[in-house]
Amino acid sequence: MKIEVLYPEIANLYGDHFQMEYLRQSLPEAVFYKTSLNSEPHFVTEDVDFLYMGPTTEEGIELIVKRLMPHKERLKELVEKGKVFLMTGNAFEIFGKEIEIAEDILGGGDEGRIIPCLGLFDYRSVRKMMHRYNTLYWGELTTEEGSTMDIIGFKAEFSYTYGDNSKNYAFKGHRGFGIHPDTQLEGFRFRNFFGTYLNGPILINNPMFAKYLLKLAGAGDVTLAFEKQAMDAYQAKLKQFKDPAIEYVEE
Amino acid sequence: MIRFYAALWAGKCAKLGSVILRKLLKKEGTNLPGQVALKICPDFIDRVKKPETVIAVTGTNGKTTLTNIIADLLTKNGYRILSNRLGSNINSGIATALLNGVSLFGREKYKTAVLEVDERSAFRVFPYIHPSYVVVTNLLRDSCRRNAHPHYIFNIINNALPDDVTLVLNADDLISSKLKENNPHVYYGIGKQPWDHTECRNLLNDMQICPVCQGLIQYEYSRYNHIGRAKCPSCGFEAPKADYLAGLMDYEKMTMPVATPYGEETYPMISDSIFNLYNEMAAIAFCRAFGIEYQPLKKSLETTHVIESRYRKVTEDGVDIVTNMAKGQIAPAVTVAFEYAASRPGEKELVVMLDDFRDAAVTVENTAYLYDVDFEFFNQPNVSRIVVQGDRSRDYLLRCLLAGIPEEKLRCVDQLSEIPDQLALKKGTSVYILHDSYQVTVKDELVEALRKKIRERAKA
Repeated sequence: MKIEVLYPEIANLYGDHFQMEYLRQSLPEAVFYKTSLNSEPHFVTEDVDFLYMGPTTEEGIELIVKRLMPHKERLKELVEKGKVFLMTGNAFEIFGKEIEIAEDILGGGDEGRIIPCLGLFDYRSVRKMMHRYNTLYWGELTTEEGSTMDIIGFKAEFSYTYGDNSKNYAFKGHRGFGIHPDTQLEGFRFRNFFGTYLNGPILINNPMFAKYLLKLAGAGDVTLAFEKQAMDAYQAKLKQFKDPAIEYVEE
Repeated sequence: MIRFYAALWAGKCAKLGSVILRKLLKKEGTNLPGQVALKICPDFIDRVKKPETVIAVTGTNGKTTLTNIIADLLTKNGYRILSNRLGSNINSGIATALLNGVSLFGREKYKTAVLEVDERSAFRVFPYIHPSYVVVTNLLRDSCRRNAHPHYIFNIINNALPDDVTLVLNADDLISSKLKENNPHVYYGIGKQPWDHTECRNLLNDMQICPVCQGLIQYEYSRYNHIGRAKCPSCGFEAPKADYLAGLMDYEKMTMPVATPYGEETYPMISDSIFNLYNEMAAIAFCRAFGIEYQPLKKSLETTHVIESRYRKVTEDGVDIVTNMAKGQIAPAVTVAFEYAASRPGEKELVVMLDDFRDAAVTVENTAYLYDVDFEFFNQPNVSRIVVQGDRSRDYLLRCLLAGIPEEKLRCVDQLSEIPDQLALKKGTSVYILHDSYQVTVKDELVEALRKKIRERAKA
């Protein structure tokens, strides 16, 4: 099993970086590549089984787009081959068509600028730097066998993403908004590519989802590090997420 | 103009009202006068007469401490200071302070102001108060819900600062040291110390790449997070050189040599914590640049103290019970409290109660920050027990396990009342209670419960 973590020196916000440590502890035999900005990614010359990138700064997005653009066709090929991609937070926006800066930080003067992205998928993101969207999210994932699992997570973001994900959503929501406030369909999925705004981190807060992704990546039925304790923490939070009295969207 | 005077007088009335309320409620500080003034006149901060010299203090950590130190030093050197130290640091707190600084007819009563400014509120404050100096402590990771990341706050401050303000910046912070590169700057720093590390020991490091070539940067010395002396081995980029650089600290005499543009000077150390020593260096750099001479400044620092309000210790029958605030959901602040507790000598037991009661009352607390906090510091032989408690206790337990802490040392409980039974409370050991800022009264209840248990055991 080969897992490549892209640009951890900048794509490391909101605790999400630790989910790779979680996988490392769960898969002691796996090979982990940590690729920095000025190195060529391993996926260019070899098939990695699992490609991960976490949320980054706004400047970071542009640095990463520049680094990945020359490898766009190779990334498309890996997606088509069914390799697992997990792109969390705004890392997921990089694989869409573009990011529009609808609102910059006061005095920034970047309003209206468009950042062209990789264009692997037909969605676009709209960023408003003086607005922070915070919400909880509770939804479900349906597996290939038709079983479902509850997915929980948190969102803290400057962007919404628009585009038809009615056939390509990652999670179907029960509460909290999805990729934008008018949908409860969260994230984007194509074959084994998963893009989602959920943080927390998603793999640690959803151990069943972590097991599912590792199975898709070819690791088989993995027993996660401290799986019992992770399941206890998941169940305790899920109970709270299901409580109708809990507020989801922070005003 | 009519609206401005209406706001001024309404604010003054609100001040009178709040003074009465304060006496009745016995609470310090209120923003009510500023809130009233801003409601009536939204550009009140712009319109109200400001003192001739405004010194603003901002940054992620240490603002209040540094504001207090600078205000004290200036006062000791004969300045009459207007300050918001008892109020808040957002725009309504600033408006309240400025309202206090003028007469009923709007005439300014002070020549100098020292104002603490919330970094997220910079764009609501800096363009209107026109500071002469802005002193910045650092820019670190804060609440992901409000402040996102330090580069975001950098851009907010950078866009809000006027082009002529003199900046007093931390040369050991590669983020904040790049604020307004064309403005006049005074840099402060702390030179290499024997206890320094050359690699960042924290999970969080928001400045891992060179701002010029994006290569991985190296640290000549690393203090905490991205604070330290950085350089790029690929392109030669270096952090700015400090104009005021502390040399080798003498922890016995509690003095430090400081290289300054005027030659070497020696100052008393007002604390042994690196965080407060950076605050002291910021104050020294500012005061010297402001024109305070060496000897009077040194003398003033000899009687300057840092109030460690977040830390309290009581001893009961040979057991030290220490409470230490770990400001929840803010990873660097929690890590500081964790590292402090873990690094104290002797056998110790730890209690982790980080639930944010304000969040817990209405929603589910975001757990993301737990994976930016260095629970790994707890993984030491002299930490004999860790009790985690609260709604999020199962998350704390999992995080401790992922930090490599042996399971047999860990206990997970829901209720506060269950904690004392999980602790050995042996004579000659310590208990550290690491609590969120919203658990101040709750931790007091726990301290009393622990003391009671120790007393009962002594009687038996």
